[in-house]
Amino acid sequence: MKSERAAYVPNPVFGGLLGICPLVAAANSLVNGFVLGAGAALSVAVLVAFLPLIQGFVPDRLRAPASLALAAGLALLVAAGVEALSPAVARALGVYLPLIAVSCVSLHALRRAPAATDLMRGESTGAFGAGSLLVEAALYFGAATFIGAVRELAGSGTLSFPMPGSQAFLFSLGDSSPARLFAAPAGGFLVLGCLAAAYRAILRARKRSA
Amino acid sequence: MSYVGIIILTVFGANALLSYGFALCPISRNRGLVRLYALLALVLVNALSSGLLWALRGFVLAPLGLESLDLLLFVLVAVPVVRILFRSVSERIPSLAGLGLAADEILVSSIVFGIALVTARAGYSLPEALVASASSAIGYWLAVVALDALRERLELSAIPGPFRGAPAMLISAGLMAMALMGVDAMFVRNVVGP
Repeated sequence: MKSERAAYVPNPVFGGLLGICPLVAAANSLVNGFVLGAGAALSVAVLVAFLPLIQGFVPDRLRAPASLALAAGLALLVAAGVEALSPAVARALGVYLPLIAVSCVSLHALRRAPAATDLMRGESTGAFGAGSLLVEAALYFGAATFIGAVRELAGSGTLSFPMPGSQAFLFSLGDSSPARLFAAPAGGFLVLGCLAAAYRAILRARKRSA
Repeated sequence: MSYVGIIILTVFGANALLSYGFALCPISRNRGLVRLYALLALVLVNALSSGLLWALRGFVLAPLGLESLDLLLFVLVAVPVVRILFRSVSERIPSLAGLGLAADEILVSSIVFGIALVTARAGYSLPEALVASASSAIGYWLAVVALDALRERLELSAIPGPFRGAPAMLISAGLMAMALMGVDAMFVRNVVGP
């Protein structure tokens, strides 16, 4: 009998440790995490929409390079968009914006995107259909923003909200003495390690209570 | 900066794994990265890719003012060239088949793309870019080997359940990164000269 329950999608960042490279190094503020997460999620959504076309029209041998070129083109478009909207954020994120193309979340989408025929029938070929990939992208966006917010609060004592233009809207916590380490990559590793442990503890507690 | 300075900086201060976070995801899954074949593949693939991207940026994109398209040209030209080169070498010399496989595995990852983009955009000359990319690859491999050794010790340690595995490894990587935070460009200049 076919199950009606939707497939469980673990959090790609805290559960699967996918696409954590830019989050460790560059997501040191809410706005940076938001932009990285949104860029990767947008990239996955467009890949999910367009990869079936590539699978349908491009010969087998050229599919992998064409898919990668599509991902690279998307990452460059995201980088150009961020540069146009907020040059300061684009400068802060530097090489990590084009690297969205080879982030594990995008590569996961490249490998798992369902075939065109399955999409048309509304079915997916495996555990990771188009819907699951989109849910994963949304979870990645949320996790990236959350990590950015935690690191900024701990590392600078502020929260910067994304706004178009050169300046983000800054909310300060007053006269706090923040631990600047959390804004550095070393702090990124520590924050991500602790959040991944907390995620596991919550999952275990849920399993026990179920 | 001198070549010795570039090597010290890229291996320790600007370590590809601990400072840039490049190719962090595979280290929790791919234990083959600690092999010597992986080191050789990392060094060769990174040096070749960075050299190709440097040439493409300098001779093709810069005259047209299109440097921002470097990633696209890298994917369309450098990646296939490096892949074909390693495949043909491993087909002609069967004893190097492992090298070809390792190169194929790491070619499409943020370690190769990241190092190539960073070195190409840093304003290095070609020899400097080659040295920087090769030593970045060595720095990445050293960090992976150190983390692998730490993981083996952590597996035998009594640590709280939720921290077992990847979280403990990430925190260990954070402590290692903290230890290397003092090695920056100014420190290297003071030690080895400009």
